[in-house]
Amino acid sequence: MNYKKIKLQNFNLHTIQTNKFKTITIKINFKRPLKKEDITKRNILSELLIKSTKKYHSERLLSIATEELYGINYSSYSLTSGRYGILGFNFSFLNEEYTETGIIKEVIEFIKEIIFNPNIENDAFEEKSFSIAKNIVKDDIEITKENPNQYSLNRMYDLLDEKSFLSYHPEGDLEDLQKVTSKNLYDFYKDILQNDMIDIFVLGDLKEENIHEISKLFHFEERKTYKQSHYITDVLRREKVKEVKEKSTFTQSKMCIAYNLNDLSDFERDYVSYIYSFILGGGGDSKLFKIVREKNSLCYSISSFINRIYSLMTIRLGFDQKNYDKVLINIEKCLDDMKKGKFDEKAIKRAKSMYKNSLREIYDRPYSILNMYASKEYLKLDDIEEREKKIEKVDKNSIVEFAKKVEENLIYCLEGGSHEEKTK
Amino acid sequence: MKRKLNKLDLNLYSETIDNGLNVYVIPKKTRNIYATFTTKYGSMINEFIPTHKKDYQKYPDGIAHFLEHKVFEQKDGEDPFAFYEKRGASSNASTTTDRTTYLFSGTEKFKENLNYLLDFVQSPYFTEENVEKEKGIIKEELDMYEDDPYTVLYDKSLFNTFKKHPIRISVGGTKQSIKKITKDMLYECYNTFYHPSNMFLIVTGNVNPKEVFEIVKENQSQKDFKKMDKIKIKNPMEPDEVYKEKEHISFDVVKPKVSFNIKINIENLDYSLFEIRNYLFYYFDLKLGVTSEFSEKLKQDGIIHYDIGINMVQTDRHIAILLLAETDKPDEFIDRVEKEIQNKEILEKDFERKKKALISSYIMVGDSIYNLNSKVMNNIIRYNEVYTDDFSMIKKLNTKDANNLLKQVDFKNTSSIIMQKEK
Repeated sequence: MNYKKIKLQNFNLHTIQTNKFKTITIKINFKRPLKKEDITKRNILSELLIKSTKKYHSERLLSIATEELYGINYSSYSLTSGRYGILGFNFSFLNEEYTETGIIKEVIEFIKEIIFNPNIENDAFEEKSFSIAKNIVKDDIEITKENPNQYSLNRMYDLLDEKSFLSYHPEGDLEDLQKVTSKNLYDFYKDILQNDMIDIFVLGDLKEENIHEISKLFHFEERKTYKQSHYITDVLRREKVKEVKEKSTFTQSKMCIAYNLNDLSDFERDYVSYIYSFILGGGGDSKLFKIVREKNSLCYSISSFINRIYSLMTIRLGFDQKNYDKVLINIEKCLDDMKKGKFDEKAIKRAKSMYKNSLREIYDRPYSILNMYASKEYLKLDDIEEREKKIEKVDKNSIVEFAKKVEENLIYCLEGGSHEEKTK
Repeated sequence: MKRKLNKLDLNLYSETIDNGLNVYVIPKKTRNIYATFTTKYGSMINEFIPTHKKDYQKYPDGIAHFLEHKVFEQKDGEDPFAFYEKRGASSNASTTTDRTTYLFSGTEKFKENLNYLLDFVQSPYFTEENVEKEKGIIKEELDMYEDDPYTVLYDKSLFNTFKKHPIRISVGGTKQSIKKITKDMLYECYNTFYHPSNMFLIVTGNVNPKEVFEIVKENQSQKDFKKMDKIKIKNPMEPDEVYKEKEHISFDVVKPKVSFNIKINIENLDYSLFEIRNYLFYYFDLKLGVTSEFSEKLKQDGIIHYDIGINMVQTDRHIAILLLAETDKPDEFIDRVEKEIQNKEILEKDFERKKKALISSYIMVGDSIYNLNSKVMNNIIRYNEVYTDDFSMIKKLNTKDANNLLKQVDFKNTSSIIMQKEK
């Protein structure tokens, strides 16, 4: 596998040469500093741009075109990464050997059509397609209320720090949505094409001429580059833990507990945090799983995860409301064990081997490889080989030191009805 | 036996061990190895003659899934999750209507990992106490599903489409039914369906097939399995009519959801199951899927925003097509779908295009050890054999046969469900 980063005039082309796959995979990212109202716009764009173009007027025609091209897989996405928002596209298709000569050229034409030739009428997105896309995003926003996992996590982020990027919901916002028109959305898209930082990642059994064609694909004008880091380290801290309970019509209760991770070194943020969270709540043999679920039967799912970009940890679980107090006591005990170093070397070894295994698995999947290079570009993560070495340096002492930096901030509970079962 | 997987540049190796266990291996140059160990036993088997007994016996709903949880319980106290984590591998298990699967994936210590997969699945340890404890955990799991409108709608669709076949029962059972499960029942189900001759092992990824067969033989030779007769399972005669044609469910959803389900008798058709499944699926895909004019019109009219979900469920006598959608106009949606599917014809240019995409998705399967593994598994469960030349099979599909098959089936047995907030 051979990785190259080519700085072309106004974008970065990252190529990964490998003959492991029969497919060629392309990922294109447009990135700019994050603003709340842009999230909703980007979400609509990601629905709209891959559903119709000037040439293919509707999703039906566009889908037919992709089937003719031997079923290209394609998708688009809108996401936030700390200080930045990203609009991106994925394309993956069979190499010429398995389809027909010239397919790469045809696919590149198709990609150009999607990105540079949107369905425009009178300097605005065509109304029908626009309103379909807008309605989907509206549904997405409304539907989070049906999903207790997503909803409770959103509420936790809202309550954690209203002023921070954290409180921007990834699915968008209804008020922002109202303001989007086919005209101002097109203006926004033009602005993206003109001003966003662009990274293009290509993976597959590539010939020199393919790379040449792909580099010719885009003519972007000059633009500024954003140097600020993606990381955000100033999430509001709290002297006293905030506890919030809200009623719901769900059967099961959901709890999300947020913890600040204070003053982490890069090594702690990128490595120790992983091992710590894995031992605490990373899998079937973690403390939380063992103690809260297996030993006390208090829940079905429970886990912890680290949000490295914000230096935060979250514990989340689904449980029966009547066990609320017991759950909290047991979670507290698990965290306390971590602080006191009540875990053995075996647990550390286990976490490390899981970590290394997950690194090696990256090489088996095209998108994992591309995502790995994307996060290397954006989050300045170490190379895989480097990561394998550094994780070995995490020891018990560093985990206990890390545990002291874990500070509880907020307990959010979405209360289910503790329905007593109806027995006959 | 070694067979070439056409167009994938891969081979499928298979062997049957003395005790009846079938083993399949697809070696591939990856870092990772993925192994699945599956019994042909899922939630849709609930009445059978337990091994060494004479009479049919009925078991509480959800017992296959309950059993899956309990197979993870080990006598020495170390559970499989922990075992695999120590070796940098991950493990999991799942139960569906037609199978229960145990699996691991990992880049190292393959021999140990594989031996352990066989060992932990083949050493049940159920006690009254650990069975009781599990009830609390499964109740929480069922609570979680109960809150998910899609799961509720899907389960209800099967329940209303079938009258007698146990496929209508939800995989996890109910909070009442799992209460009735005892240690002895679990052993009876286990001893019947976890016999090696009712199971199969599939390994895909960075392995040497010879080594895999040796490990398995060595492992199995140390265990004593009594010879098994064919398992007798009671399958009630399922009529073509649905259980309930229409139902409204009141559920706290923002967007009303609807399912329209078509029950199709597939006995006595002149085609193979592979052909039947593909022709039926592509018929509905062409009629209602993203490339159809129908779907385009529904979107333009604001009836739907997302594509219609097309699911296929198969029993011995029937295939049910489950169409799921979100819509503010459920009645109109059902009405229009009902009309649309009656014009049963496929056009050649459309079908040939779908074939192009189908061939390419088959070739793409070869790029992933997970997809390869599930291809083999699905083949065994659905067709009772592993196909090695899907490429030619797809090539042979044609519009004439599709249209001919469509003449032989009818879509008159339907069941619809509308799920919305109480007004």
